[in-house]
Amino acid sequence: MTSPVDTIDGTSIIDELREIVGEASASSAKHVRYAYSYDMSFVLPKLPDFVVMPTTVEQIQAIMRLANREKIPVVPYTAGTNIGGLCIPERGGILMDLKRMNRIIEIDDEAHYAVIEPGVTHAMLAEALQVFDLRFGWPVGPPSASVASCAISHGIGGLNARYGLNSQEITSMEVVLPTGELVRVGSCAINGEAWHSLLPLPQLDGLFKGWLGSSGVITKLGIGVHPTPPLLKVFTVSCADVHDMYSYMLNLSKYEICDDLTAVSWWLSQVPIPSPYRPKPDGAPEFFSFANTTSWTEKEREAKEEIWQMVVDEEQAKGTSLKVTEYPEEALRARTELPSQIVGSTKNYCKEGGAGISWPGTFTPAKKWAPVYTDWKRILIDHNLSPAVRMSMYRGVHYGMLRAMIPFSKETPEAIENARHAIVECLKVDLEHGGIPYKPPVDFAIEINKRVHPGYLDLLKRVKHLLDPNDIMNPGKLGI
Amino acid sequence: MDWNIPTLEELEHSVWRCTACGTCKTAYDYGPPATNADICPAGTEFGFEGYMASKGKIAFARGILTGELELDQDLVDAIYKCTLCGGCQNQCQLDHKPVIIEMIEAMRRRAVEQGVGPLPSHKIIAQSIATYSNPYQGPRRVRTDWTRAFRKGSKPIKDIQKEAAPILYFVGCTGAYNQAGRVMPTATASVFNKLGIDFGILGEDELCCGSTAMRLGEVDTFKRLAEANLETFQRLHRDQGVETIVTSCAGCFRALHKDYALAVGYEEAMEGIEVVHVVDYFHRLLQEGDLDLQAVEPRVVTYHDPCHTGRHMAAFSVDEDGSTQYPGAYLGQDDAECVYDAPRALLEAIPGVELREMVRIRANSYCCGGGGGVMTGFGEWATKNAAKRIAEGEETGAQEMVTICPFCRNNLGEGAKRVGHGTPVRDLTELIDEALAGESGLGKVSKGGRTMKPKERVLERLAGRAVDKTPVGCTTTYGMVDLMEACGAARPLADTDPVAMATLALAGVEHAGFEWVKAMGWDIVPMSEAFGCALGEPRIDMQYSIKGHPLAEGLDALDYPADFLTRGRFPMFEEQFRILKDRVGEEYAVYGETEGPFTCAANLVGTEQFMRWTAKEPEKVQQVLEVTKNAMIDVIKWAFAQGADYFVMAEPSSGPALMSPRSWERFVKPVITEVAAAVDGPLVLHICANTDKIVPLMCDTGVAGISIEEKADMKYAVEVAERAGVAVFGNVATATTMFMGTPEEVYDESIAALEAGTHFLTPGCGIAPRSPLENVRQLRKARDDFFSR
Ligand SMILES: Cc1cc2nc3c(=O)[nH]c(=O)nc-3n(C[C@H](O)[C@H](O)[C@H](O)COP(=O)(O)OP(=O)(O)OC[C@H]3O[C@@H](n4cnc5c(N)ncnc54)[C@H](O)[C@@H]3O)c2cc1C
Ligand code: SF4
Ligand code: SF4
Repeated sequence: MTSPVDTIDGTSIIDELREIVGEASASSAKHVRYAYSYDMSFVLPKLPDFVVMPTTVEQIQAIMRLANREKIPVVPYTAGTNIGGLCIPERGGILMDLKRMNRIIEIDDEAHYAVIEPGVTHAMLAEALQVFDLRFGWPVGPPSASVASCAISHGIGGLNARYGLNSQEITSMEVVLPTGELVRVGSCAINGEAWHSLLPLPQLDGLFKGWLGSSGVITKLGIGVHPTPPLLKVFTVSCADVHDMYSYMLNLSKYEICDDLTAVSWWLSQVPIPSPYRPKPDGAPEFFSFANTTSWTEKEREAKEEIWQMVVDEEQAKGTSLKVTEYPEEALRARTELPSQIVGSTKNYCKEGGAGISWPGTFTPAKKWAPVYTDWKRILIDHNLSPAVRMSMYRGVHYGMLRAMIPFSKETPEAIENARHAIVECLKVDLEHGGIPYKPPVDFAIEINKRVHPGYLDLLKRVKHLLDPNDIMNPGKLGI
Repeated sequence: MDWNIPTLEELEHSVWRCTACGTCKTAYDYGPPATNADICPAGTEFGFEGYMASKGKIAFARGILTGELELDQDLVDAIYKCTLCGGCQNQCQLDHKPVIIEMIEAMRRRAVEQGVGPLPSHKIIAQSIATYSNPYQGPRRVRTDWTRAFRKGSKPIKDIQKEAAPILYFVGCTGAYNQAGRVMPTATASVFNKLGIDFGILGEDELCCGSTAMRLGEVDTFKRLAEANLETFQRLHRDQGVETIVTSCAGCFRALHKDYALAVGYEEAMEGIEVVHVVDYFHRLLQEGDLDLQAVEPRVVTYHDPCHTGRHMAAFSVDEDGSTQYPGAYLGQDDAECVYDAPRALLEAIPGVELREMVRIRANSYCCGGGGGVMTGFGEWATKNAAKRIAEGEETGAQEMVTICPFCRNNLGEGAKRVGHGTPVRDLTELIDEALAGESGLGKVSKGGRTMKPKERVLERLAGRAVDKTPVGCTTTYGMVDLMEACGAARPLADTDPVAMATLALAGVEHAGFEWVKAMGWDIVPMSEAFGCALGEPRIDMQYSIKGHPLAEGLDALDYPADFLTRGRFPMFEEQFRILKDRVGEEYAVYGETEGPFTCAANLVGTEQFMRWTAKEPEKVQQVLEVTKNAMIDVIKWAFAQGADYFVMAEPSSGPALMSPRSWERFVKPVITEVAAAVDGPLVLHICANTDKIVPLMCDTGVAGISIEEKADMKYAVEVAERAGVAVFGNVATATTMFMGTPEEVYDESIAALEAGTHFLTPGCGIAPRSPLENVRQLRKARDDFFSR
């Protein structure tokens, strides 16, 4: 389906959009639309019919009202780096590029939250926060991508072992509903100046988190920010075996001393990921791990080191292959100095592989990491792709992110299909083990929906219909 | 000659390396502290992803290659909406990084090949390059216009085809043809002359370097020019001993260095010849101790790195054979050839210059917005972008923006105008020229014909009668270093020696085109000096100033010495008057000038204390003023007796910055009125700052003229003054424009003052010693043009 060019009363849609956002901020030119038709994932390109760049809430409301009236799909977009084709318009329509709504409205350095517009990038917020010695859980993604889009998509950042997912940092929201009404959830709903908490109100924010831009347009977001302890200590170890690494991470995670507790397979520790697959050198560890800790005092740092050493001693006493090692320098910088241009530019992922990158990115119980990894490795090597896998332990729980970063060439349809096939196969394995994919491309959503409880799917559809009766918001992405 | 200039198809593999990650969209650095800023002028202006950085441009390339995008007029327009600045390239880390600019240019070449590019406005340039071998549609003979001043001066510039020289100065079309751009070759040649460097130019035989053609996608034109130039360089090396090609244009520098290197056999062709940017050349001299930079008027500057001398010079290493990583892997970047450090080192070496950096500098410099054909194709956007850069410069507190590229200089200059109070933009060579002593080799400016004699014009106008054209000159001090150098009479001698004083006074007429002459030194302290104020040591570029206040401790010492007119420099002034009257008295009006009675009183007591007294102890103020007023009357009477045609009282200490209009009316006005009543001859009252509020009072003192600064409203002053039968002098800005601005800016301000009705076109205040003569000459030029319209 492509969108109509003219409205029901005969005026042209592009003219109406220009009326709303101004001549220079709406386009239906093919070359303008083209740059929004693809992203780095294996998802096949599709063109939007229009691109608009609103700068105010009122403009967004007017666009939504127009879109509802004309039943034109609307796809919210900030930088399109979600790696899941989530901004590729399944059914054409209006691509709503929000990059120019990029004000940092407030940083409350006492209550520790910031209020931002959707176009605020990690780089912008990082620059602004450091003035107050504050920090945020930056993802290992492009500095030019949106903080809000990451948070509402259950993004994962460098503080997830300490504070949880970035979506858990959300403190308040302002949203334009698919039908054009403006709503607020959290403390800002009661008092326009108060953006500090979602609780203890009913958590209506759930209506807009994890919905892949299909339930409303976020126009403001309150997010928690945190003081930056001055002392950083990164503990690095390696293991010859994924089970040993899991054992170490499980053990260390119970002390909750880390900001980030992550392990990466040898292939992911390389800058760039070897592409096509190459066996690792003999004797090279299968996994490296970095455990980022930050402390306020030397004593705190020493205490953390004592705990870490204890864990290492215990793990080694078990006879595991755990070794205290150096982590490859550039790879370590890429994951500890965030936001990072190294990962941001996909240097560590795609440099050798090509323009494509996709992932089976999942939240998987930690105890399933080893079996899933073993299967993934087999599948990926079968497809001549490197098993560049990451495991991260979340705050206080024994599940976490398990994902394989799969760079691939986009020069031939075969190379893209090969990657897609491998990734979907990997996903199926993970789903069998109780994992849940995040930021799922439609291919994943279909696999999820095959397995979900019918009541969940029904509820999802009912809520979606309630919010978006004409199914115009990023339609098709939920696979329903 | 064969060339390795790739087609878009040849770059296809690189196009497919881009992940669309968008890292190229902003200049982000982890730090700490983290910094982030826009880097893409196109993306900043147009916003859509397709316009954004290399991410967007590569999307276009991809669409063209897959056939999904047609090279229609819309797309061609979008492809030219790029300054080719390389800001995006600096952010990207992937294997296609080294060829990002090539990809964009390859699309342009493709557009030209298909007959859909470049844009219509570019076609005029392209046609001009093809026909005239320069983008400015200028005939060959105009190429040497800028050398005329040297031909008339002491050091005509060598024609390298006739006389051997080790250095070929490759002037470039912008320096030769663009009126504003000419300051660059002029300054460069002047510096070479001052340093005694043996150089020559190709003159009328110089051809365009081809940079503009290359940037626009006109590859055949580029090749023709480059091949001809390479041949010339070889010939000059062989026959005329050329070993070094120096260029002061960033575009030429990039072309000769990088674009020509795409020629098969470039290395052999250029064997024994080095291409250097003039700034690198001067930097080497500095390092070798051969550049004796002297103090300039103190100023804060910021430096704008041009893209072409900066990040475009980066050398990228690629793993061609796969021996380090894998075949085609981008391995790293070497910035050794990027001209980042030399300009900064030079700026820091000029005494008086303080360099303050902007956020976006060096490899992350924010493009001025003028490159890649944008200035021609999208002038409005180019200026808007330049204004952003100027604003960034102003945030540093800089008074001037310095750069080393004529395009940047022009475009930033336009941006500065757009900002309104815009920072002056200067080329680094101009500053170096200013900081170097020596014989520049520049000759005199010619003068146009006239109907009234200058003296007649001045006196008639002062008397309130009609004249053929507005007199042009200076009614305050004009002790400028450039004039001293031009006439050979320099401070400190020219402050005390009557002959030197007179010589410098006449230099205003001879070299700057002034129509009347100043007597009585180059400062406004003669009365204070005669009253016994201690004075600071003058330097070539620093006039006498007050260092001690005889009445600081109390008024006990207040006295008007009987021998007042034989104290200080009055005897020298007497002799100077005599010389001037003898030499030019018939032809030119001669004026005397000192501080006014109020300023003199403030000097005696100390300005701060004196101002406090105006509020707290007014009787003391009156007591001192009584004495200085009498002295003033005597001095003016004396000056008229020496033959002064009019007399200027400079009253900076009574300016609105220091006292309210009410206080002015109470303390200053009565004294001036008394002085004016007591003397027989025309007086001019000069007051600095925004005098709008006291202009009616000034005109109500009995003076014949008032002199105002640019901060005051000329139109209003003329209106008020004409009603009172008073003439207005002014008001081209001395600090911001005449000293730090460009000739064009001085010219424009002069025209504005004439249009506003000034009766005498003059600087708004004393001319700063280091003001470029070229700037000062614009007053005369503007006046002449204005009246020949
Ligand atoms: C190399 C690489 C590494 C990455 N690493 C991580 C990582 O470690 N952790 C992580 O979380 N992410 C990671 N990402 C993914 C992504 O970069 C981040 O999640 C990023 O912050 C998304 O921002 P964006 O601006 O690109 O969002 P987009 O891709 O533009 O949008 C993401 C989703 O949000 C929706 N959306 C956008 N704006 C709104 C709005 N205002 N209202 C409602 N819906 C909206 C879109 O429709 C889409 O569904 C990585 C990406 C890359 C390329
Ligand atoms: S050009 Fe480089 S930095 Fe820009 S989007 Fe492509 S890969 Fe990323
Ligand atoms: S070269 Fe400059 S203007 Fe062109 S896309 Fe890159 S950053 Fe933007």
